Amino acid sequence: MKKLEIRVTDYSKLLDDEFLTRIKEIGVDVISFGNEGCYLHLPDIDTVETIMRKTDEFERKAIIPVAFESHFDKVCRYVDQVAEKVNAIVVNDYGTLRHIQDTHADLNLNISLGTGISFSYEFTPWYAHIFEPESSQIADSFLRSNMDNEWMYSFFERHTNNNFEIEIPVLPHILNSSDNLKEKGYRIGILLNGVLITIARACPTARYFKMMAGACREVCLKKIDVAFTHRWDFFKSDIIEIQPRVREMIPDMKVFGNSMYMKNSETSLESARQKADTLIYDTRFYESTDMMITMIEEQFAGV
Amino acid sequence: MKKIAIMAPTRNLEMSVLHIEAGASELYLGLNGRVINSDFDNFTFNARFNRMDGIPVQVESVEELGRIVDYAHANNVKINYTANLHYMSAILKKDFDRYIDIGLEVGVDALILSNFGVMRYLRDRKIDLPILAGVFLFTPNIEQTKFLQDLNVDRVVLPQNITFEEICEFKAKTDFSVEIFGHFGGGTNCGRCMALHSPTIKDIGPGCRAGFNVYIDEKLDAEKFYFLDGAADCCLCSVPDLMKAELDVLKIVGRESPIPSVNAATTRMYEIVQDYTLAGMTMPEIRNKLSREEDVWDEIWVTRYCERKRCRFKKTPITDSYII
Repeated sequence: MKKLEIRVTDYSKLLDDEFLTRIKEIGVDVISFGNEGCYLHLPDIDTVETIMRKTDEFERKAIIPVAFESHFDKVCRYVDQVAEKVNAIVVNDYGTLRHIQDTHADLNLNISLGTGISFSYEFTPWYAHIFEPESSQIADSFLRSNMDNEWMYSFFERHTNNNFEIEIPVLPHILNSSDNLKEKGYRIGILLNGVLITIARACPTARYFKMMAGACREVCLKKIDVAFTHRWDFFKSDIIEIQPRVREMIPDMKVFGNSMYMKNSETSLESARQKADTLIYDTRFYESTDMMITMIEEQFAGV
Repeated sequence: MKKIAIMAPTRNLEMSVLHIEAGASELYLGLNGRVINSDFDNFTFNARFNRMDGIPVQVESVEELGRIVDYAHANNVKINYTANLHYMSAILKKDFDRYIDIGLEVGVDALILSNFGVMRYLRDRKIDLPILAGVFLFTPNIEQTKFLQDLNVDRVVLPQNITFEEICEFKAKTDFSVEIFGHFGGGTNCGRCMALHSPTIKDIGPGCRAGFNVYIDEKLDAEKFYFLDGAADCCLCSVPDLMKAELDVLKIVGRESPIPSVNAATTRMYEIVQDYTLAGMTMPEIRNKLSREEDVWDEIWVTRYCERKRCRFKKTPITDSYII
């Protein structure tokens, strides 16, 4: 039985009874909260407590962002506080994975490998051009999931608890890896909305709005779209305009805080629905709850 | 206070000689994938493509690789062999084995790897050369190094946007040799950034330094904006502090450099700042001396790095945007 998950970074939604009622009515099983890129945009522990009280009809999943050493202790304290309250944790760096493994082994937590560590060269917006001159063997080797190879299977078997869900977006090549991953015992969470291209510690949104990171929470939920127009030129140490034909082949991108995304491949949606153990919708990619619910009802019907 | 080893890039003997004469004590390099398998076009077994913007990036033959290793060893310089792709599929196991075996046969001193699975595999193959955990592995916290300990790794390369205080933490709390990208590099979390520099379309360049039109709430808010560019390119003025912190290795990038002599000048600058520091000079005194004696200081450094506030460890709009 596939699960339906809603991912929320605007935590006020999880305190809103109407929102919770509506998603319950359409069959949502799991609520996830947090983000991949920035610990400053995690809910504080009081908010987590409130979310727990209001969402006890759902399974709950906490998303833990990539953590640098300067704030690793804070992130671990947060992990320690939420670990007993949630059903699953999404990790986006190996240090957090190690911490959970060493500290919370007794909880038998479900762990998801988020797209901070689960990725592929297919996440490059211009990947098709990079691979155009390569043989099918080389393309096949590099366009699969970075987790889908016998060396990573061996690493996880011998160095971790090896009971993971792996999150992957809707892209044709990486979806081909999902059968192999499932055969190895991994569960597949399909991210239905966006492909995480890059994360930056030097937060582009904070810089754009001329704010210090940490004082930027108000702009983190802003709807920012960017279009690639100029390339870096090393000799000029400046950027120069790219040709229209190149510009046309690069998809527009969305930015949430310190993370940049491109759109999923719509043509692979049916394959994704079939391969998923969990279908994950991200509220950030919808203008309104109505639009998200309409989309879920259309896509999830019959799954 | 001891000197920090400078690790410089190379793709041929000529470039190796330039960097060694400039003071590099380690070189890093890779081998063109086509030497192993003629199917490879842009890809090889390391973090750079075979060519960037038409310029070769890799050593082009096993013979040339051997010549570089021999010359480096004759000058007490170590060779670090890159096999540091983000990940690799075992489909290419035979080719990858050959790539590694060639490195072993010519006598490289260490392997730069950026994938836990590949590290596991090579340790299982009983390859006991030192392993340097490259920047593409992306090691943002000390906890992650526990996996590296399990794999008997020797050195950790820290992410480009690491802070000075974090470098000190890694030095104080781990037994690893610690390396940083000293000069240039990317502006995002390299290793988990797929805005890759395109080898096929010159018009794309490195995505993390591109210019973007920015739309806020669907309205155009800025044009030609360096939106992603958080690259703190230079740490020359922080070299005395890095020496006090006992940083082990500072890496200079540029295997794809079109003018190797200019690239080697960067190695030389980091080397002479260390010499002046050991001679007791302060950084303001060193800057004055560089301004008087080194053409590249005013021509390149001041305009590209100082005036543009590209300091890696000083307070700038870039470092202010770090998630601390």
